[in-house]
Amino acid sequence: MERNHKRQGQIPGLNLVSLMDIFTILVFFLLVNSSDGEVLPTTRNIELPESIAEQKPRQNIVVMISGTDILVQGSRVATMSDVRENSDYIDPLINTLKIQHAKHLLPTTSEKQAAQEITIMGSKDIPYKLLKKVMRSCTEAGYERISLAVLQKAAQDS
Amino acid sequence: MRRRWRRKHLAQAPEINITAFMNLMVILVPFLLLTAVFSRITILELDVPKSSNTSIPLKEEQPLILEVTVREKSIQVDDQKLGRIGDYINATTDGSDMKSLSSLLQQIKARHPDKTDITLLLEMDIPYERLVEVMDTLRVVRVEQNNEMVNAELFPAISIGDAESLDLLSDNGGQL
Repeated sequence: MERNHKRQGQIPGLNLVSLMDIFTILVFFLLVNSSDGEVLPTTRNIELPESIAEQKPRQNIVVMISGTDILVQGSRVATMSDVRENSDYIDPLINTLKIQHAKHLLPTTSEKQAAQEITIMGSKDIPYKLLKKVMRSCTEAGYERISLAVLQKAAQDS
Repeated sequence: MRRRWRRKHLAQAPEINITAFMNLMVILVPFLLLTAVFSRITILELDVPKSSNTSIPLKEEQPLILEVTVREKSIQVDDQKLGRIGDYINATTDGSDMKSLSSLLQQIKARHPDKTDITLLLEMDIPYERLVEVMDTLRVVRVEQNNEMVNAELFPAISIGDAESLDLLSDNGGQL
């Protein structure tokens, strides 16, 4: 009776070794996974189109086009009401990009080359005419190498 | 004396206190899982002419200037000098139009292997998703080689322009 009581008083030893193994592997996997080049900002409100493109994004200016706003480097510069039907350009966008361009032109010549590049992240349902206006505005502001950001999907074999 | 000490310590397995480590793991794992990005973002590069004001001089030695016009209901492939190549491709939603466009472009690529540039002309209301889909088709094609699917390059230097409106075309009697 006495003995039995004593046994119950002990804390049952949980074997945590296998759990620790899983956690250790998981932590290392996630650390490595998250560290490789997060160049472009995450997009909660923009649904990018899917493509089989494999080229990695480079660090440059990002223009985002959501259904309602146009953002440069994360800050809103224009809304859809600024986009005029009869104009080929979006004026607030050009002004912002010109300021950005002037900032980047100051450093050395090699960086000047990099500053010419711009990445457009557009929501997948925007019409071509809006995209065209954004691209026109980019080239007008001095950014002549335009890239389109897309979500990578596996190429289907057919 | 010494013997007794050893026996006592061997009897119970040495226990490491891993509580602090567990705490760390329990915090770290959900945090990393939440921040992990499982979708990868890549880019498509455009071949933009230097400035929209300066017109590009037509190169005489260039035998072929390819244009792909994407309309709401159809897709067509043109040479700027010779006119339309192949048939109109009716736009579908199940991807069969992309297959026929791809096979047409493969035929052109087989005849002109050095050609890499192409112009994509779009109507005003074509959605961005469609544009990317057509660009993918123009850039690469999946072909089987040694029982392996590989990407074969078609026309990776893509420029984008506006399609002529259909009203204008019908005024010219449908000729480009």
